Amino acid sequence: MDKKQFVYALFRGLAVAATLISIILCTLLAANWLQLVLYTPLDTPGLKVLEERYRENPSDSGLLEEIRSLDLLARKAYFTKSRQIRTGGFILLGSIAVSLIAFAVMAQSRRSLPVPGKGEDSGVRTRERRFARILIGGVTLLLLIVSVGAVILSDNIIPIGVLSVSETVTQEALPEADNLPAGKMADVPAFPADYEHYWPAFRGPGGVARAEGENYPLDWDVETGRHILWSIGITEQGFNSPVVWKEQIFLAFGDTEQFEVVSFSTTDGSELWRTMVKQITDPETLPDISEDTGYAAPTLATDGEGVYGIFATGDVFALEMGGSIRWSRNLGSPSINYGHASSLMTYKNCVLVQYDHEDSARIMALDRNDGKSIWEKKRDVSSSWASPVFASCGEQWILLLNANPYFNAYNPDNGEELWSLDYMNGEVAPSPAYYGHIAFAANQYATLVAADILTGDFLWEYYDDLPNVSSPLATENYLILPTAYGVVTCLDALTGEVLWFEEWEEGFYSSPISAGGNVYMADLSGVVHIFKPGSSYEEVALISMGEPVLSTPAFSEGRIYIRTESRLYGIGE
Amino acid sequence: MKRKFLLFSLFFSFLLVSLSGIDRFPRPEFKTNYSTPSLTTVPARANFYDYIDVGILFVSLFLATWLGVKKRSRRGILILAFFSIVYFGFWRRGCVCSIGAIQNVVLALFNTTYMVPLTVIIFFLLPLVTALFWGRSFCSGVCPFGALQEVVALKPVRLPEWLNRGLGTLPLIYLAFGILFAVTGADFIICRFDPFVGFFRFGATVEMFIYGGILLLIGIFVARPYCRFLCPYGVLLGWISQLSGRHLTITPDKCIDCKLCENSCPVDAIKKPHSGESDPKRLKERRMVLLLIVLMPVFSILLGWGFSAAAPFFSRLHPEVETAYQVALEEQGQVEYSTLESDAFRASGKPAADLFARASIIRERFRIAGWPVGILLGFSIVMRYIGTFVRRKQEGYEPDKEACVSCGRCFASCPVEQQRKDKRDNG
Repeated sequence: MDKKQFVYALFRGLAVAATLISIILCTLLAANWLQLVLYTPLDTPGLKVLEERYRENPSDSGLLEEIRSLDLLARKAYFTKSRQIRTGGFILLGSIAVSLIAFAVMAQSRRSLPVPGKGEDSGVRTRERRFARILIGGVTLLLLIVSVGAVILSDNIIPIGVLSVSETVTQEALPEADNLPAGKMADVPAFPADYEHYWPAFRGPGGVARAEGENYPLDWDVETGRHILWSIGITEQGFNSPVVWKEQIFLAFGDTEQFEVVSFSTTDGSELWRTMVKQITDPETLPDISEDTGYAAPTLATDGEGVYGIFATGDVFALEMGGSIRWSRNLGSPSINYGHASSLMTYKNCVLVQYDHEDSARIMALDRNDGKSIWEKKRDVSSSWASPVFASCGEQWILLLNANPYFNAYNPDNGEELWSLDYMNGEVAPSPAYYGHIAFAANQYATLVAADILTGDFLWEYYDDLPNVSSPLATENYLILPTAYGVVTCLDALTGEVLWFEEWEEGFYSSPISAGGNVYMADLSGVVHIFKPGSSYEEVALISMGEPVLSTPAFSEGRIYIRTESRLYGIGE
Repeated sequence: MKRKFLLFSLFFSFLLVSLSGIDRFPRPEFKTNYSTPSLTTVPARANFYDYIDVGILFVSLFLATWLGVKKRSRRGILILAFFSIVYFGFWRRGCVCSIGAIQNVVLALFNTTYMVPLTVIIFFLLPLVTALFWGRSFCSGVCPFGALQEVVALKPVRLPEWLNRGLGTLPLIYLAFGILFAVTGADFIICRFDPFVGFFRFGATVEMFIYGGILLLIGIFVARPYCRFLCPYGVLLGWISQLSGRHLTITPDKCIDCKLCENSCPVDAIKKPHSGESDPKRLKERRMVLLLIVLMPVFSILLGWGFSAAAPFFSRLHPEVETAYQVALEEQGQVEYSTLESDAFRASGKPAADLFARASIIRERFRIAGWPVGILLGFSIVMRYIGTFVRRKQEGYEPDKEACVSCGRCFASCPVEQQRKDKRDNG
């Protein structure tokens, strides 16, 4: 036997063996699989009988244990079978691969000699080509029939023209907002039913810095881990505050290279999805920003339908709750010191954008579905870093904006200006506050003004120790003013009388939040001050996060989510 | 025969392996305070792995080209094919692949909000660039689908030329629809109807397994049925490959017209020599070609119009449009049943007007995109038809650059090649 014959014989044996193994394996696997498909594990007669008996006698703990044991056995058997199929599949794959290789080697080692062809036969060729034309013609005719059939079957049952659909139907970056066809404010509730249950925007629902619910943690320890549900490291850049909707926490990140939105799980902080938001503007002409503002200072907003955000480039976008991009557009590169920082707010079917810059200042309502402007109002103000706040007055919602020189109120349905107070100056970063019928706005080196929320009538004014980054907090009777140099003042919300003030070594960028009857405030060193709002300072706790806190914590369903300089914490009991 | 039966059994049974995974257990209802842990998401693959894949693709293409054009080693191509099945198929689970990348690229071209990674663009472009110079090296042993079909093509038979040419129209149509549905954001149908990815992932629907299994079974006798009669990427490779200057050749030297290679190509991609003499019927054919050229714009525009006018129909492949359609039917009382999607939509509390508006926008996209896609398809089909009339003078046997997948099976049939090998082996 020569070498080739030996190789052929060897691999033939191997091929036969591998094939036989494969056939046996797949017969067994097929039987296993059929059993798996046909057998419904929890529908066994024995288990059904026991369950019936248990329903008649629910106090029988012995029976309950028996049911649980049988249930567990059935589940174990099912998953064992699944595992066997999977393992068997891998072995089968291996044996098929061996068979194929063996067959290939057999073919190589015993190649038959090539048989000469007949050469060109023009008659045959002509006939072949004629048949080919017939077949191509047939396929083409079929295609035409399918197309015509599709045209016939097409119907316009879906109502069209609900929106003013422009001729441009791609999702390219849209031109200047003023040139766009208008969208339409939908006749829907201002906010979703469970809006106040979560933390959907900067400073919570409506931006009013008040959390729903009573039981929020009052003590935790990042070193020992007490009441720390989870913590994750964050290396990407962004000073925006976390927002929460159901089981998702959203944060935005941005630097000179890329802009992203990330969703984390509220349960364990794991990353659920990460979406890169393509920069619409020329990446070589990024606006000038300062390092302590960054490209991702504005906090995201969500209404449960989508996640909305804006970067310092002027790129505003909407994502689905699952992370895919719904739309994005650029509002024009902002000309503003430090970088754009105003956060978004949602209302009905729109996203509100306070876009106050040196070159142009406006408040816009963009359709959350496609980014088109529903309404826009030019504002006669300078740059502002404050964010919109919603105030409720009975059935009416009022949109409050703070800028230099005006503290304004607008009708969020159409952008109509309701009132305007000329009191502000300087670089305005603190957002407004309100409680009851009083609205407040403040800025360091300017003033704190209180006004009637419906009429805009001036009520009182205060000048000392005012915030320049964090925003004031209004509770039922009190107004809390944290400053960047550590002084915290509590005023009587009705009169403006100073009730108390405290001074700490570290200042506050993070805004105070009212939750569970207490006020939570994180200073720049990362110490969370918890106290009761009252006519005197009543400390509840001082808890260190171990590193600076610049953003405002989120409060949702009894948990607190705090973003420190390099970590995100989920705190709860 | 026995061997064929064994192979048949192997492939059929392998289909059954991954048909599992149905959730047959409802979650238990606990009476204690036990809370079901929420599912965690597997972290995304680190980006640098994608660049490793690109590097391996580059090396594989280089090897495939070198093995086919320079070294002329069928064995080497076969080994490379096995590697591709393992790496690009099972290890990378068939994704990202150059075939599906067509959709990512066209969507990114027309949708500025869609991000396509650079690695996907490279996967799309690199085989095309290779084809421009050296032909379809990608198909020979780099594409995992081609490689899988290559290793199972154990007893390929020749198909008549008319069948090859006729069925060769199907990939054009598939490509057109793939582009249409991708560019409108409706679906990636090339991925959805991928016949082999289920094997690589050990998981797919029963229908897809059967579809892939049938293709592989057919592939034992009709080599590379997906590559020849379905693959949309093969259309692009074929077009570009015709421009290649250094394509693989059957003979390493001048063809001696021995006719031994004539039946050796498993994909019927060998062109026979032709004298180029005039045929009395040529005049009639020339007139036909002229007529076709005149009618080409008419046919193309007709097809473009058809695709565009059928936008309401085609757009229903988009899940949002289909939901809007169902909701509209329910609101107009034309149906009494609801679907899961329409129920879910109503439970969301969103206004139907929003849904209809979005559906209108999507449908408009189909209307606009249908025109160029239909026109290009019409143009391509007519050109293919005209190609059946074209006769060029040719000396010697040559691979058809458009159809040849550079598998190297023809090498063994060429006596000149054997001479070269003997010379090399004997020093």
